[in-house]
Order: sequence, then structure tokens, then C-alpha cells
Amino acid sequence: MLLVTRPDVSRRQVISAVVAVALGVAFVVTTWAGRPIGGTALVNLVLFTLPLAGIYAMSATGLVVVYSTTGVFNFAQGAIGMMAAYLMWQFTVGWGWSPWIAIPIIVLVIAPLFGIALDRVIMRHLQGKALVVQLMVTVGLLFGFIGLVNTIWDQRIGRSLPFLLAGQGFRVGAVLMTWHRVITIGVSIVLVIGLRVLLQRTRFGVAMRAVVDNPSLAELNGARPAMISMCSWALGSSLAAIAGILLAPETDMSPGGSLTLLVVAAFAAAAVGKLRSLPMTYLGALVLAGFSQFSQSFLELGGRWREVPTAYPSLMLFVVLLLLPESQLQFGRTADNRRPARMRSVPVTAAGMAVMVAVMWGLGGVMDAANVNRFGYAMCTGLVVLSLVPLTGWAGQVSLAPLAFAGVGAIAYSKLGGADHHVWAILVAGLVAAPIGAILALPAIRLQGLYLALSTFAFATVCASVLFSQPFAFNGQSIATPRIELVGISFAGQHAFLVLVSVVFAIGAVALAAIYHSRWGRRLVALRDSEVASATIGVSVAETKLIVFTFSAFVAGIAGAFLAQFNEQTDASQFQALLGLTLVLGLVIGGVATTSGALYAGLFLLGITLLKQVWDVPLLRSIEYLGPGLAALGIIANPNGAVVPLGAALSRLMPARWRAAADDDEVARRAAGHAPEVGDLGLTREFTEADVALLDRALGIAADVPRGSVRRDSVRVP
Amino acid sequence: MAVGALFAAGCGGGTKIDDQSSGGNSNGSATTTAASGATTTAKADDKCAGASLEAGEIGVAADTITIGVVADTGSPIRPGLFQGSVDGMKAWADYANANGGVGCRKVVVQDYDSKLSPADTKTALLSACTDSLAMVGTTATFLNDVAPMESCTDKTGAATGLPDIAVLQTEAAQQCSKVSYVVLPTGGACPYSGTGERAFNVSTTPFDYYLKNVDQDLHGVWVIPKDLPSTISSSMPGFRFSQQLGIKLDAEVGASGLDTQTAYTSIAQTIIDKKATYARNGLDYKGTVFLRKEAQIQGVSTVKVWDCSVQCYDQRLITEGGTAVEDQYVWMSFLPLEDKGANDTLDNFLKYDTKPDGFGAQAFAAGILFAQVVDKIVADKGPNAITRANILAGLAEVHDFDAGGFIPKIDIGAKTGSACVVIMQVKGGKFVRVAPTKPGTFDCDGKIQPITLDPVAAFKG
Repeated sequence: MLLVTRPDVSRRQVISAVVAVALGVAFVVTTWAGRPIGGTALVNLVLFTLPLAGIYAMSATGLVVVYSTTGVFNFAQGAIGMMAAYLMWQFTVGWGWSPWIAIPIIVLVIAPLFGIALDRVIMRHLQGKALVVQLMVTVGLLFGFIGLVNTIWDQRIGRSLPFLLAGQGFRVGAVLMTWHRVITIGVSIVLVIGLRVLLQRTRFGVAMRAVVDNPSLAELNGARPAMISMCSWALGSSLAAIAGILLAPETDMSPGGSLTLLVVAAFAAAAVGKLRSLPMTYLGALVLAGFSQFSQSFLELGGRWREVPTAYPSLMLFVVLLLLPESQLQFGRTADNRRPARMRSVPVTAAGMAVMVAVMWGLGGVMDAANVNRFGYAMCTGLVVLSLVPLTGWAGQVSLAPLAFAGVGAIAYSKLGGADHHVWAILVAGLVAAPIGAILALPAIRLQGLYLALSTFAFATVCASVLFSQPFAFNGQSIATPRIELVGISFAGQHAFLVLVSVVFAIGAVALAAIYHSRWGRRLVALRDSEVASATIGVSVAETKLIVFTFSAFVAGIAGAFLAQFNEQTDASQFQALLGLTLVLGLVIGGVATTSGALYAGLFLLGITLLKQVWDVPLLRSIEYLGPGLAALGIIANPNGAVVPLGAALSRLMPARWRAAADDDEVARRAAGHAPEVGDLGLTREFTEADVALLDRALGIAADVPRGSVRRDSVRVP
Repeated sequence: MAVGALFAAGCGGGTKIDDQSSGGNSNGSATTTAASGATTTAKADDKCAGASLEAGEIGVAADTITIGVVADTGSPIRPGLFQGSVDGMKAWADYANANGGVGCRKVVVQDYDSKLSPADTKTALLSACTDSLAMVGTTATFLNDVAPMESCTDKTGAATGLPDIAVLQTEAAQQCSKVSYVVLPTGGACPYSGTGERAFNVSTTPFDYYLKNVDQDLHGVWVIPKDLPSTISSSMPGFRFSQQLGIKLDAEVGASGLDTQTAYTSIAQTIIDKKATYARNGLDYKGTVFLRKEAQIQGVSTVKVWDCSVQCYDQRLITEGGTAVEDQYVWMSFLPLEDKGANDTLDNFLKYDTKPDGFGAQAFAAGILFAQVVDKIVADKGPNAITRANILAGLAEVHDFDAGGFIPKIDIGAKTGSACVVIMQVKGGKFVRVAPTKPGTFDCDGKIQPITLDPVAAFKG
């Protein structure tokens, strides 16, 4: 659904392209190794590039097809392929089956059935959910699948899949091209062509895409969304299985290895195709593979550039997203019209936070140092994800880079006063991170939804790989980040630090509650509901985005200062992009729009650890690995987060809420019976005395208030 | 992703499951050395008889001693990474308890999961400080903050520190900590700030062997694990040193633990172009498997020495590499599991560890070191003198530890490595001893020599 149609190449795009090319050229010139580029070298470069491009294209194709036909961007696509590779190993190496029997069974039977199950159990329930919920469910599945494979197959036993056709091939010059690689390249090309025909030229393919764009309209035109969704996931799983089986001999197929994480490199290739065009995706794969191989052959990347190659996919993704024309970005894929959970009022939040601080203080006094430390870390991570509540929870701007800003804050804290225990270094950390948040807001002003989310993930990866390794930052070392001293009070002890960070979290939560209930908070919520509608009522979308990104980065920077103090010795490993994803996942599990959701996020992983610590049984060890995957199922049940039903359940225990609880039950009972909404009362059904009493109690209207001319027995509007 | 890359880049290795019995050369008699602590053990046993045992220190009860093993085992990204160390420690505890215990008490092993995370590592250290007498068999990748173990208080409230007998020390902070010792030191000079030049002591033995016994004009290609500074700095001293000894440099290439095999095509072509006779990979076994497989595909035929150190002593190198890794050299500073029957310590390790691997072997040796120190305390001061302070003092005084001949003699107190290694080669799908050929012995022909460099800056990319 295009909201803006402006296909012309803008000045911004031209400038962005020129800047990107200039930076690229400067990078190449700076790192040039001085090796001559001759004819043989160029031929070899092409020969090195093609197989790698085939690998990237194979990964990206599945990603694009799944997104095009389901509307879900699947972080777990590589993990599904990894599971297929393990099945292939089990069948062919473990049980001695012929690969020509195993491949059809996996690709045509097991993978589609798995895809159908995935659709029925999880993916179907994601339709209409907020983007961040959709993304985090797939991230949870990614970790869950890693845990599943680890649980089934002992990783201390070596496993690899052999090349098809025993590694034979043909020579082009000095380079031998194996048939396996030729098959990989060929299959990827055939898939690109075949899937393009399927999606563009067949009625079924058109229906697949139509169901994603507008299921209701597609259904009116005879499509069967449920069936199509099932087929889409079956197809997506089969593609993942093909990729996994073909790529496993070339990659580390272990859980968490390169086969699973290739999907990150595939993002960039898929972005070139705007997540829709398979030929352009292939082109993206070629460019990425070509530059990677060029870099390895002709550039000298030591010193400050040593980690740049790791970030090539993310750099390319970031550049591509900057260069894509605005008109092709502004489509709304997810339509979550339901309002997220509301923040409690300032007094209620303050009371809740006071209780939280008291609990932390009390727990800190009775727990041993290790558990106090665990809680301290949980509060620090809670503080980091608190930065996402206004940004992602209220304004709907999905950011996957909270740890990037926290990392900036940690560096600033250490370099600008924190090393000498100065309190004001915490504020400096926030102030340094804030303008970087503003810089990230510049693309965010034009990007929406998934593209914004991906650009923030790319930003996080680039920060972790490139920015943080610079000499002015961590420089590959850990840096001293001691804890502050405040008016002679030291927070070096675990208990004191836990109380400190709890108090800071509480202050942050109360401040956010105040903001939420202010005019500015309403602007953010309006932005989330509809940018276009916000603009029509006079809200400056660009300015609001800029402010909320800056504010979020400021909070994350401060959180980074506390995270650094928690560690006391801090290095770049603590701010990896993948780690950031787990924090966002925790926030979504807790509730992305509430401060208590952030608290829950911090305590979520801690809870699993403590569970395992208390009951050290094999089942719980697996749960520790599988936990994020299981949590993904929880998100589907409670897309507003676990804290909402948890809070409701807790509030029911309070005497003042007993009567209201009965009303809640009545509403729930009616909803379960598909009773008409409250808004239908008096229009299409009787407005009974019981309804009036129910509404009176809900609105706090006393029973003796005069009702005027309203008949209290019943009202019927013709 | 860097975390993902790390374990594939330099911290893997040593994992080996199959017990290949006493494969390889088994000629000659075993030269099992009597356990260094045998005398003190006997004296300790005397002290135990009729003694009134007290709970005199954290982790020491009247009837048990609790030790902690901190290892990365439960990371969601890399589950079970260093489980071998935990298994090795538990195997040692079973062995020790079956032989009368340590310090007149039974040994209890408490494992703490550091989860490939600095935060969880810190928590693990604090837990160990609270519960355990000492950390033994530590295999934590991100132990960069040593404050929790250095400031750990003992039962009297004094900040004595928590003794650490490690298997793996990746961070300079741990290597140089006053409370941390390792069974096989890396040889980096202390103190070290973490940046700039550092002196390293490197063994000449494997390179001397190659130059004397294979080809005196070796020249070749080095593959550097470039993912993290710690992986670069753990590789560069040995790489540069081998070049100083006479193995000429043809090319130096960076590689990532997340690279696909196709990334090695250009490296294989470089080997062909340069007609390299030597190739060494600093990545874990997986990187070597990729390099060797790609070299096989591309028809590399000039290399006489495919070199790799302990990280390639891993059965998965053979199961995954197949015929491509034939003739691969691997060297390490503990007796290979193939020496079964040639050394009592090794035999006990294989008896009690059902999933033996390289990390488990070093953890078992760490347990023996701990027992040696505790038994000496008991022998000298009695069974109620087992305190952290005495253990730290005892560790500093150990200068010739060899775990009953399972490892070469190591000056634990001075934290200096040994020139002695065992050089293995993959032959017929098995690890086979090539130097020395006699099981239960080490090749100590070389010497330890210093080299000073900035280990990260030395890598030019």
C-alpha cells in the first residue's frame, strides 16, 4: 500500500550516493595493499565471487519469498536451514541413507510439514500484530531452534556434510569450480527465476502476495488466506531446507555457527531487492560477495580496520536503505490497530517503583553477593530497554540498537570523568549518546517499519564491529569503568549498587509516566497510530521522530554508563548487536509500551538462571537454551506483554479491586461469547439495567446519581 | 556475532571425544613420572589420621572441600562450549575421592556457568567467592575483570583473594592477576596494560622440528584469526617467532570464524601461486578443516607442513576433515589421549572422564595441582590450615609441576611456559605421535625464547 508516490531520484539520494561512493573509495585507497590488478587477478576475483554470491543469494531468496508471501521477516530462516542440515546429516551420515533419498524427504516432506506446523502454531497468530512483536517472535525462534538442535545432537561430536559429487569439478584457469558450487549457483538462479514466475505470473502467486497486502480484500476475491499462509510457510521452510543442505558443506553448521548467522548477510542482499525483487536480490548478493572477495584479495585490513570486513553486510544494508527512494519505502505492512497497553498514572507508577526499590533493597540485604550481582545486572539491562519504551512502545519506531547507544554511553562515561568516579560523567554519557541518536533519526525520518528496524540493526552491528574497535573507543581492550561516588557514598558494593540502579530505574520510570501523560506523550502515541493522521492534525512527524530518537539515545547512554559501572571493566563484547536483540525480545515479552515491561525484560533471563540454579535438573538446562523460543509462544498469547495479565492478576488480589474484578470477569465472559461490543449497546441490542450498572461501576458513577430522562429498564434505538 | 566468531576463531579447540585407546606408536617403555606430590601426600595422610577436622575457611567443611569450576557452558549461542572442563574437574574429583580425598576431606565440585558473558563471569566469580575454597579448571573466555576474585574475602574477612587454577586465560588481566595461575602458561610477560608492546616467551621446539626434519627452507602462508584482538594477540607472537626462526613469510591473511569455505579459495590460490611449503592456521579446528578441504579441491600440492597447535587436537578435525586433513601437524603441551597406558595420570583421567577432551585433560591436571598444594599445606601445617591464603602461597611456591608426567615440568609460580611439546600428525584418520615417538614423553629439544611485539598492531591485515 503506497502512501507516497514520488519515483524521481531526489537530490538527497544523489548526495547520499556520492558520499557513499566517496567514503568507499577513500576506504579502498587508505587500505590498498598495493597488489597489482591484472587480468588473471580479475578472473580469479570473479571465480572467487560467484560461489560466495550463490551462498548469499540462496540465503536471501528464502528470506525474500517468506517476507513477500507472509509479511513476516524471519530472523530464524537460517536456523531452519541449520535444522535441515542436521537432519540431512542424521539421514546420510548417521543412518547411511543416500543423499538422493534424503534430500527429497527433507525438502519435500519434512520441511513443508514443519512450515505448516509453524504456521498453525505460531505464524498465523502473528497476522496483524505489531512489527516489533513479529520480529521478536522470529528472534525467539532463532534461539529456540539453536537450543533444540543442541538438545538433540551432542555438539562435541564433529559433524559435516560432504560436497555433492565428491568435490569434483572443472577448472577455469587455476581455480577449480566444484560441481557442488555450480549446483548451488544454478539452484539459486533457478529458484530466482522460478519463484519470480510463481509470484508474478501465476494466480496462486498473486494470491500469496495479495493475502499479505490485504487479506480481507483477497478473501473477497476468492483467495483462502489460511490455506495460502500455510502454503507460504511450507514453501519458505522448503527453501530454508534447500539452502541449509546446500550451504552446510561450505559453512559451520553447528548451532550459532555461520550457517545460522548467514541470514544477517542475506539481509543486505534482500534489501537491494527491496525485499520483493528476487533478481535484484541476486544482484545484491553478487555485489556483497564481490566486495568481500575484493577486500580479501587487494586490501590490507589491520589495525583500526581489522573488524570492518565483519560489518560489510551491515554497511551495505545501511547504505542501501539510505539510497532507496522514499516512495518505495512508505508502505504499511503491519496493521496493528489495537492500542498498546497504557501506562499507569504518575502516582501509581511512583508507588509501584517505590515498592520495587524497597523490594530490591530488601533482597539485596538477604541474598548472597552473586545473586545481588545478578539482580544488579538485571536492573542495568532493564534500564537499557527502558530507553525503548517511548521510542518503540509509544512512537512505534522499532529500534534494534539499544546496546549500541549504551556502548557509546559506556565509552563516554569511561573517557569523560567516570574513570575518576565523577557523578556527572553519567549525564555526559547520555549527552554524548543523544546526538548519535539524532544522527540515526535522520534515516528514520524517511524509513518506516521493517526498513527502520533493519537499519537500526545494521547500525548496531556497525557500531559493535567498527566504531567500538577504534582507538578512541575500546580499541579491542577492556577499559576501566569504576563506580561513582556520591557525596562521599561509595557504590562499589553489590548491594549499594543494586539500590542505586533501582532508584535510577524508578526515577526513569516515573519520568516516563509523566511524559506519557503529557502532550508530548500523546504526540508519540499518535505517531504510532498513524503518521499521516498525525501530520494532518499539525504534528511534525520529522521533528517528533528526531526528538524521540534523541531522547531514547540519551536514556540508553545513561543506561550504558550504569552497565559499564556494573562491569567495572568494560569491552565491546558487552554491546554486540545480537545481544541487543535478546534485550528487545525480553522487552516484547514483558510489554513494550510499559516501564514495568522493561523491568520484566531485565528480570526475564535472570529468572531462567535462578530457576536452573534452584532446580539443577536436565529438563531445566534445556529450558535455559529453549527459553527464548518458548517465550515466543508467550508473546503470541500476550502481544501487549506479560506484565498486563500479570498486573491484572495481582491487582485482583487487592480488596479495592474485588468488585471491579467481577466486572472484568463479566466483560471477559461476554467477549468470550462473542457478545457485541459496548459501542453496540442501544444500537443493535438492548441496553439493559445490568449494562447500565456495569458501566456506572466502570466509570465510577454512584448509583444515586439522577439519570434524567434515560429509562433505566431498557433503551432501544430503532 | 563477534561472540559467535570468537569460539570459532581461537577459543575452540582441544575438544576430543573418541578414546582411541593407545593408537600410534606404542614402542618403548612408558616413562611415567611419579606424582610430584607423592611424598607430601603420604605426609598429609599421616596428618589426617585422628585429626579433628574443622571448617576453617570458606568452602572447607569438616568433611568436604568445595571447589568451583567456572566455564562457558550455557550460552544460548554456543551451548556446552567448555563442558569438557567441567567434566574433567568432576572426573578428577571422583578420582580424588576414590583415593581418599584431598586434605583429609572429600572433594565437592560446584560448577558456575560464565555463559560467554562478562556479566555472568562476574556473577560466577562472586558465587565462587561465596561458596568455594578456590576456582579450579577455570575456562571462561571473558574474564577481563579480576576484581571480584582479587578482592574476595576469606573467612576472617581479609581480602585474601580467591585462588584460581585456570585451564584457559584469554585476557591479560587474568594472566597477570596475583591470584590466578594456569597449568599451561601462555608466556606473556606481566604486568601488562592491555595495549602496546609485550614480551612473550615462545617455544622453539615445533619449528625447530619442522626445519630440521621436514625442510630447512620452509616458506608459507599464515592465517590469522582476525575476529577479536584477543584471538589476534594469542596468535601473533608464535607466528612472528616462527618467521624469526627461519620460516619465510609468503603471505599473511586474516580470516573470520564465520567465514565460509569459499573464503579460503583465494588463500588456497595464494599458496599455489607462492608454491608455499608451510601453512599455519590460527583459527580453531573448523578453520583448518575449511583450509585443508579447499586446498584439496584446488589441488594444493606444495605444502610440506600443515601446522596447527593445540586447538586442532580435536577429534572433530578428523571426522569433519576426512582425508583432506591427512598429514596435518598438531602440537600441544600435554600427553595425547592416544598415550593411554603410558602414564598413570592420563589413565586415571580416561578412566573417570567418560567424554574426555583436551580441556578436560587440562582441568584434570589443574585438579592434581590443587591437590598437590593442599596436601603440602596439610603436611606442613595440618588439615585445619587449608585456607585461601595458604593455597595462594603454596601455588606461588610450585616450580616444577608436571601432573605426574602428564604435562612437562611447569614453573607455576613464575607463570612461565615450557619448551616441551608433543607433535602429532594425522595419519590414516588418526592422530599419531611423530615427535617424540615414545609414548608418555615430550620433545624438549627446543628452548623458550623471548619475542617482544604489540600483538594486535603486528597484524597488518
